[in-house]
Amino acid sequence: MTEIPPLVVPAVRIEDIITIMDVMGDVNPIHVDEDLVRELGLRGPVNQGPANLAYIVNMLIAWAGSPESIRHLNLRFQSISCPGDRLEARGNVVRLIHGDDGPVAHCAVALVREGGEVILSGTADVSVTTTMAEVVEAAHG
Amino acid sequence: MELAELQALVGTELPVGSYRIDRATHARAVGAVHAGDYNFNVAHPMFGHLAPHCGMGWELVEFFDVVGAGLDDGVLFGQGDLTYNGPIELDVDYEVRGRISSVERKIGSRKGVFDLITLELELLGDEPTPVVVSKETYVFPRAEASA
Repeated sequence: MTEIPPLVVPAVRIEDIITIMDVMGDVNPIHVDEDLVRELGLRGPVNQGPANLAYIVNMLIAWAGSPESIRHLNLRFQSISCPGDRLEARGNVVRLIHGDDGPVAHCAVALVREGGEVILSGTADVSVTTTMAEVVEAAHG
Repeated sequence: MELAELQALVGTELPVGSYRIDRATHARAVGAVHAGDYNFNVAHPMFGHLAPHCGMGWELVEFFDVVGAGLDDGVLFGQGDLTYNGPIELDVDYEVRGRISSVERKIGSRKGVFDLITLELELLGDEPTPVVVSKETYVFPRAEASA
């Protein structure tokens, strides 16, 4: 399998959560209310799912070279990330699909918290150049 | 809320909404997801989720109310499925159409009874094919419900 270079988020920051709340008009107190999250048995304020999704996207863009390369994402949010968490976006190419619009890499992706907890996992379909496709095919034998 | 009541909501159309990604908002958002070096002339693909979500014809609190939940219930975003049919442009007005597409009740060993409710949202430009189709599934804890 061809590994996609991982991308590290050094630390989730509460100020970024608040910015995304503002951008989204998100009033869900689960993102900032320490008392509520404790009551709900969560380990901290909850980083937004779309932010976790964005870390995966950042990795894919860095690899494929363009935001327009991303064709499809299917992501299951298995756990939460919280302020202070160090995260790593990971991925690898499972197979290549040769479509009418050129080669597409079907990838397994995941966002993992330091210590190994999987925050989200799923699949991504990413358009790749012919050269990248040849490299992937060579690696897959 | 009873499961039968929830299941009757499948197919409910949201009021038509709209969304425009202005460059200043876009810059703040990419900075907040550690993509400050993003330097492309189209929107970051996370807006495949954010644009339909923010532009849908219901506020989140209205959606929660329709499905019998409150803001303090600890609702979480459970799954996202995004199909991109083209680039998402900045400073362009998009229409957002959507519907409740599925309801499923489950029992978890830790969570107890919970509902998975999916909204299917379309971000539409000038073409009939949506630029993005976003299926967002939320997890609604239902402490009071039985399976």
